[in-house]
Amino acid sequence: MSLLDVQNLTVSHGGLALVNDISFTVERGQRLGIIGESGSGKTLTALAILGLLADNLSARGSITLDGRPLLGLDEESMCAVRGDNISMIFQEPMTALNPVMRIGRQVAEPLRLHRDLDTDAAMSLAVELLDSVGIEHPERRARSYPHELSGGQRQRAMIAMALACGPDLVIADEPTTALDVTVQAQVLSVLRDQVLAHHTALILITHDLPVVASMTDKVIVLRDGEIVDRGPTGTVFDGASSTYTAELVAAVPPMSRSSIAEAKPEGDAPAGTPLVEVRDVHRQYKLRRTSLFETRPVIKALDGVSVDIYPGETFGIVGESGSGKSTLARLIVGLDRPTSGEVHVDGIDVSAGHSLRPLRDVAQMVFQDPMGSLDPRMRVGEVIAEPLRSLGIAGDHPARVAGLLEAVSLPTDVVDRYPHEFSGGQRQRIAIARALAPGPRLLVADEPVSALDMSVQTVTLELLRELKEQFDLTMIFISHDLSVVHEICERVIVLEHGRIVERGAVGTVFGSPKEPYTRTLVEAIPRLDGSFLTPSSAAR
Amino acid sequence: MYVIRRIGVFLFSLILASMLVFGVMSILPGDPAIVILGTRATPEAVESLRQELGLDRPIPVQYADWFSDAIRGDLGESVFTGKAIAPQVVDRLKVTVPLAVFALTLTMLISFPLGVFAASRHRQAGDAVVSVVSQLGLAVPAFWAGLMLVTLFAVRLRWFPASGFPGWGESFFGSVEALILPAIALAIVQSAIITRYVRSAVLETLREEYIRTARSKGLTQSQALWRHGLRNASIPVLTILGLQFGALLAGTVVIESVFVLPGLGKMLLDGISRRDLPLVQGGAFVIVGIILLINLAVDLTYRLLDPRLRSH
Repeated sequence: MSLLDVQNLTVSHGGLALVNDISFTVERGQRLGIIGESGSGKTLTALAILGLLADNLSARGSITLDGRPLLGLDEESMCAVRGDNISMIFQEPMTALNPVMRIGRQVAEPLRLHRDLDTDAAMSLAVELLDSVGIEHPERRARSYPHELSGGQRQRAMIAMALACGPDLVIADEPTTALDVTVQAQVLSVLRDQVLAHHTALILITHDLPVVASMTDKVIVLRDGEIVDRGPTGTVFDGASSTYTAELVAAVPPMSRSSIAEAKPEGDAPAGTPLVEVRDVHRQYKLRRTSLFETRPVIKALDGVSVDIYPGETFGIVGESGSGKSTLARLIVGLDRPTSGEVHVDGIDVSAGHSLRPLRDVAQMVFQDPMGSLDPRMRVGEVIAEPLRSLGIAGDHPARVAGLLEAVSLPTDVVDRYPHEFSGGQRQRIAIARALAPGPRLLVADEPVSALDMSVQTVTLELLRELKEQFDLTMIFISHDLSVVHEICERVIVLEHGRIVERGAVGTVFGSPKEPYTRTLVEAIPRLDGSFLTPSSAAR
Repeated sequence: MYVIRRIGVFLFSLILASMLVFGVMSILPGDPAIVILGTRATPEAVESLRQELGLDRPIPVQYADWFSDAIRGDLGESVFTGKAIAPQVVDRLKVTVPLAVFALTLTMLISFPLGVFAASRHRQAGDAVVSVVSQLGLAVPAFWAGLMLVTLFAVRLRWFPASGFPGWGESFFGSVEALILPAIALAIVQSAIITRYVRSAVLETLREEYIRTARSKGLTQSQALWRHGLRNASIPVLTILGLQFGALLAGTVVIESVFVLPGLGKMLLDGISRRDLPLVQGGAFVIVGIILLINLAVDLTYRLLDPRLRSH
């Protein structure tokens, strides 16, 4: 008998089936990957197993755990299953943890609930659990609040909480999507070691193929609520039987395929006058005073950065969160001013701070979140035409908007619709069209594809490449994702704590990194062969 | 550090408020000298009294004089009775503060359970009933509620006194009894408002991801709400509670007249009708001071409730 047996599961909203007649099993100690893009129904499947679907959703079919039916089980018995037999790890540990409760209490909670332990016994077990997931100073951390921990520590605590009662099955929903790559590799290693050590079954839900490839034994691929592919992890990716899976595999950037970085031919060394000159730029933020007698603490977001970017190149800026890469982008487009140092774009002194109106014709920016960066109450046509109006650019605006929509491969009749009517990828196209409207020479793209599904990411990157040729653009491409930067950029700088630690041609920097930090970043890229994880202690 | 800065802000606001109170009173028509001497007094007599009262000096000088006395607890003398104002204010506070605290306690006892109940029955009959009742409560003016309560409980049922206040020293239970109906009258409107805020804060909280996490650990919906939701939901409610306390104090002015209670509000109303300028100034200043003090307490309580505010 399988540990978990899901048969003909259908989750519907009204008459609409969001998960349509799917069946799969998980054996004791087995690790199943569920792959799918946003809207494929992968999270709904997980919530259906836990009986935590929203009130307006209904589930049909059968779900059994160890032969015991879960679907249709009364609420009291289901509460006894949750956290004890099945537990869950969520995507964003900051919002998934209670901000006003100490970590230790949150980890101890399932123990008190299911094991009937008193406060002290549960707390000392919680400290042990925190220790086992690699949190340093577990006693102290148990007394911390979630915001006092780093993202990686928070997700480790979440893992400790999910494993507290020694469940038979752990469901992890995109557990590392919100984390930096190096942290992702660590957290995944911890999760893998823990489930191996306790012989816990795992369902890992993600859109990230390399992550699934390295963590699971078998895989199902979901698309629009239906299973389009299934099988042992290796064979599904090698000889993909459905065209959809083959497309997903093809969308994996070359750098994420194997540990051997593909050689990338070095382009010609840039020549001529730089379009962007950044000279010894510092940017410091003063924090609030913590005591009357101490000076205000200073955060150095950028600490002496100099870089030249030449016309026509695609220049990459990589680094982890907090490395200063977005600060650098904001300084270049004049959204922020340096504490010291100079920034020149096309001869305009951006750091001087007087009218930056001329700069807006030259430099435009595309942001990460295409939902947040588009005004929800403006029609698409108005969004794209706004920079034309605000910069007083004369000419036939509707015709120009139509031309831009065509350039980003959107039908021209979308001008009267609102941003929420579009998918993430389409919204990012709208944002790109808006950025191109004033006819800039420089496009600064800050994590432009990070919020997009893998297949959409590939298409958007291809679009950016084409637009760069068509509009003769210079592009600055900022990302935490090295494999994407490897694909699209020619030269790159690596930032750590506001300093450039390495610079050069992308092939050289990523292919044979000289600095230990760059090497760590490169080694942490999830790869289909799983080589980015630290060797498992349990597997040895 | 934050506490020191916040207390600094409090003191600054207090000074600003005192200027405002003093300034407004000086602009208002009605010369205290004429009030005291009557309209038939000779201009010479009025002028000499003005000099005696110091009203002929420039307003900033008058203010400095008044404020420096006020912070030392001397609010001057009433021009009507000639008695010192500060002891009167203290006496009156012994009625008004218990009344406000009583009303606030009632408000919380009514609105918290009701709001949580409505939120947990979201879009069900219970939610609808609470929502209709709170609409009604909002529409009822406090003085009218007071009159109705008097008619029912004092005149018909004779459970409580209709008006008056025996004084704490005279009869403790009698005093408490005298405050029950006015407190209920004040609490009706306040509860209606706070219930709506509690309901929406709890609803908001129930949608948070940490509630889903709590459920995934095996907590029931109501356990998740009590253990994880309420403290989070109380943070926005506290803001409203602090703001509404001001409204509550303003409400006491009317309610004290309806129930003939010797409170600060009643004193202010009497003072205004007699053009007793120093009395009104002193009373208003004390009320503003109390409201600022409440806001200080609210801001400091935030930090107890939300650890995120403590760390920077």
